[in-house]
Amino acid sequence: MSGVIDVSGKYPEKLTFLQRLYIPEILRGMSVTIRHLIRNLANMKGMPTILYPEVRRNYSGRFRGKHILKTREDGTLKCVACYMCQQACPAECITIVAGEHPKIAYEKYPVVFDIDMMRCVFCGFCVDACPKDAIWMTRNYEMAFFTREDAVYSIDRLRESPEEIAKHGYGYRPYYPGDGTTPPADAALLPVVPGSGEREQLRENRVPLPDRDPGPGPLNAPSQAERPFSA
Amino acid sequence: MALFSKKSTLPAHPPAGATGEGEFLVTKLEEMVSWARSNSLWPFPFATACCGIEFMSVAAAHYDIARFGSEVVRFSPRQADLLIVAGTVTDKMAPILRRIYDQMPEPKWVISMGVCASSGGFYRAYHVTQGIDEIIPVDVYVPGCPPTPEELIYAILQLQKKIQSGEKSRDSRSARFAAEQLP
Amino acid sequence: MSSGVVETATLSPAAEKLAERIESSPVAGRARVVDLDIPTIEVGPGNWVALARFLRDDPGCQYDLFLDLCGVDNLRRRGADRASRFEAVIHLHSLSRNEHARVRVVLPDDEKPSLPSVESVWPAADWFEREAYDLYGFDFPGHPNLHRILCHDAFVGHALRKDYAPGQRWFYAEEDLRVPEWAKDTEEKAGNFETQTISIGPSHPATHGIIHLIARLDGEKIVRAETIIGYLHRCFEKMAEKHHWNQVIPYTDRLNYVSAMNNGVGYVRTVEKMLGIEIPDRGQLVRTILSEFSRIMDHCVCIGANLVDIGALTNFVYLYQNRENIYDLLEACCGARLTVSYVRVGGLAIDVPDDFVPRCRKLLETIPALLDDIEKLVNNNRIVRNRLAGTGIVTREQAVAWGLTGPMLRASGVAYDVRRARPYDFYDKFDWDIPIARDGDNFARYLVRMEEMRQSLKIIRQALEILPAKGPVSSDDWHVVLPPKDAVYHDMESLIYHFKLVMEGIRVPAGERYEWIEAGNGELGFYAVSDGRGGPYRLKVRPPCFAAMAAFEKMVVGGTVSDAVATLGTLNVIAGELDR
Repeated sequence: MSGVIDVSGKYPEKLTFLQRLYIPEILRGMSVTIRHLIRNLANMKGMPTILYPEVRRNYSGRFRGKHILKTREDGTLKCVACYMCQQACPAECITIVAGEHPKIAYEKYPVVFDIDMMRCVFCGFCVDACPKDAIWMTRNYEMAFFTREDAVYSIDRLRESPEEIAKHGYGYRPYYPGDGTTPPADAALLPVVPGSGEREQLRENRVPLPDRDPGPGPLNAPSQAERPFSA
Repeated sequence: MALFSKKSTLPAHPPAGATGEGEFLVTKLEEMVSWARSNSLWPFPFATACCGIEFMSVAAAHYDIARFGSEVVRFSPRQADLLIVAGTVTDKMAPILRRIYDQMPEPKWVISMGVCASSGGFYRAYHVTQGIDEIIPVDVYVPGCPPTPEELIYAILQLQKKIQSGEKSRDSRSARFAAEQLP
Repeated sequence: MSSGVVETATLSPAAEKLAERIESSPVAGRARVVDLDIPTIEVGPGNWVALARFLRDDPGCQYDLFLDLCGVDNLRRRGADRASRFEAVIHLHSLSRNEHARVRVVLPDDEKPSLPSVESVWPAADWFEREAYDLYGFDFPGHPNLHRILCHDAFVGHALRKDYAPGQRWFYAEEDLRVPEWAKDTEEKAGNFETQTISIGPSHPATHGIIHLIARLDGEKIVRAETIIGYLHRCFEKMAEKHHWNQVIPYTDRLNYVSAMNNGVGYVRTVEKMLGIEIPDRGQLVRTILSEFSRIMDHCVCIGANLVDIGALTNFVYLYQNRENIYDLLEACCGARLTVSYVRVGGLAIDVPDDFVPRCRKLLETIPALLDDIEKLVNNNRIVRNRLAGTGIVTREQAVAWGLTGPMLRASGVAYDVRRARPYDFYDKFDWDIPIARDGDNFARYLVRMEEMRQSLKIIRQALEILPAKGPVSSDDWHVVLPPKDAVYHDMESLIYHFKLVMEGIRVPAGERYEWIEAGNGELGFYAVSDGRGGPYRLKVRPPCFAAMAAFEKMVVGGTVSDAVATLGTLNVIAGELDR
């Protein structure tokens, strides 16, 4: 048949005399292994073994290692606690508690941002999901813990630090310099426009917010089970 | 059901130096023994899933765990002293893991490789043990899914530090339990 | 999708032909043909066995390869009202006519869903029916050995039913293991000789960690065997029901974890077909190239582990060097070595790096050199030939009856390869050959895999020629694919699409689809049911090594323990795929 190869033709059941003798085969096999040995001895630098920890493998700039939270120019985290990374994470390892930031241009910030490294599968979905360029991954893979509690990284260990980047380097991130994309503008540089004071007025006068339709809601919300589906 | 039955009691070893109003010779001897133990760990790869493949990478030519003394990968627990649990442990596999751990002679250490072995990983499911520390004490947890071979070697180096500091194969939780339960 | 009365005029030619054949069958009038993605026959449980026998034997049908049986629980399914809560969905393939068919058996009794076993028609159905019993509670009267297969024996309840909480675990101790009846007396006397029943595994170097073989031995010869699996049942299908369509992709990586990309490609193809979107040529070609590299990786592990089991340790190290080189490529593309999560529904996560083509070409030079070394060490070696040739023989009829696909089927002489039978992703544009062998023994499977690796290199070489230098790798339908990042940063509409996709998942129209690809082990199929929301309602994986493992206990009878070890190596059983 065209496009089909029969591979068993070359190897009949009965072994030839030389094959049954076995010594020629041993010699041929040893020629292969000794060739590898001599090649390695002659060219010790070209040996495939990576002598970790003295030598480190040069992983690419897309490596998915430990996460970092990026900061703005004034030192605050870029993260606005929008919960998109928490929702996108298949392992549900991110815990965020949002807080109101006094600066209106920033609006929200994460009071708590924990990543449980013992659940994280390093898939990079959080980086894909972030709309504020706030979470990147580095090439840092050196994590080993003696207790499980030690593995929950909060903001102090996740915040980007120059030493870590100098030692390991950036890894998987939402855009790469020179790929034609424009990073988001740094909100720290925007002029702060004070609001008209509505927020404070509402709080003081206890004006109730208008009643709004809750809308479609997330996956599998209990309220959805009874409602007929409409696209 | 009591996980630690009378048959498999864990003797609690105080860290070296706690009692030692040391004879110089004894502590030096202990140091040498710890050094020797840490540099000749013979692993028993309890490889169930993807982390098993990364463990095989560590054992192969590119990373070569033999550089750290683990020249032979022992498939009998009676001849091994380091249990590397690589891969998800399901509820069906859990009693077998416990049995393997019990069959290992002292001193023994456990590395939980990968997030599935350490905490169940992203399998919050009806058949997956949420961390092998439900059944056996763990010395080092390695995150990653799967951890890169360097990460596993880093964990072995951490374990070597732990052994050389005198901790004889018990983690703090089981040591506390043993101290409370045993007469 | 399925309306009340189906008129013959609206059926596709394949479905119409099937309907005509059904008319002349013993179940005429009691089975109905519906035209979905593949022709589907709807039948009640009472007529199922007669229909099954007809489908296998009738010259106009000849569905001799049993692919899959799964259950579906319609309790929470939105949309069209279903006839009953449970249904069993069976997929079949006809080797001579190169056609797939689906049968849906509607189970009317919600309390005790039951349909007769078709193990007498297709022996491959054995384990699939046990799985349906385990996970759904279906009863199969006539089944020889209806016990739990994936969940442990102290498990209470049926896990994939919609009213079973995903995290509900049960405690299991070693005493709870169900020992088969015939194995209960461990020693049996026959004349002056004694047979012994031992347990090989599940923690055993040769069983790759997770397979339990209970064997009755007469000396070294295995007289009777039974396999127990489920030691890596990680509840993939239940996890899939809990997540969005894209979030299932990391789970698919861990199915056949030695060739992670293939599973991802199979899964996203199913979803893309349900959505009806096309991905650009460059994306398809990159998927093809990386899938073929993953196939090479898969065969490297299989052959390496197999040879280690029979004592040839050097080859393992050489084959692992191949894998490390391919890891370099995968890591440069997506950031991870093994569990790549590189595909997304609608394309790829990110574009390949600039040096992708030079890297691939470098690999095309280094891989054949190592393969040649392996052949020099192994092919004419007397010990390897004695161990592998003539052991684990599977004849052509047995292979088809046991539902085998992939290298196992091809080594028994059947040239069925999904890439040729139903081409996808440019496979029909390349010039490549399907390796087959006639003997069906372990050595034949080894040879088929070695040749398949060389054919994969040939495919990659041709794919690199036609790969466009620049272009998108993903579809530009923002209802499905995340918009590019700088659009999200600056443009309101892109942000809205991005938000909806992340928070709610992709809205796939209600319906069902079965899509299959050629993975390293054989036909890997994904049967997905959607009811319109952001994640799968039901996702069934048709694992190629499930059928192979079911056949294993029949293959080892009569051989020695060492033959069993060699045979197990050639099956390439990857527990992530076997147990899901």
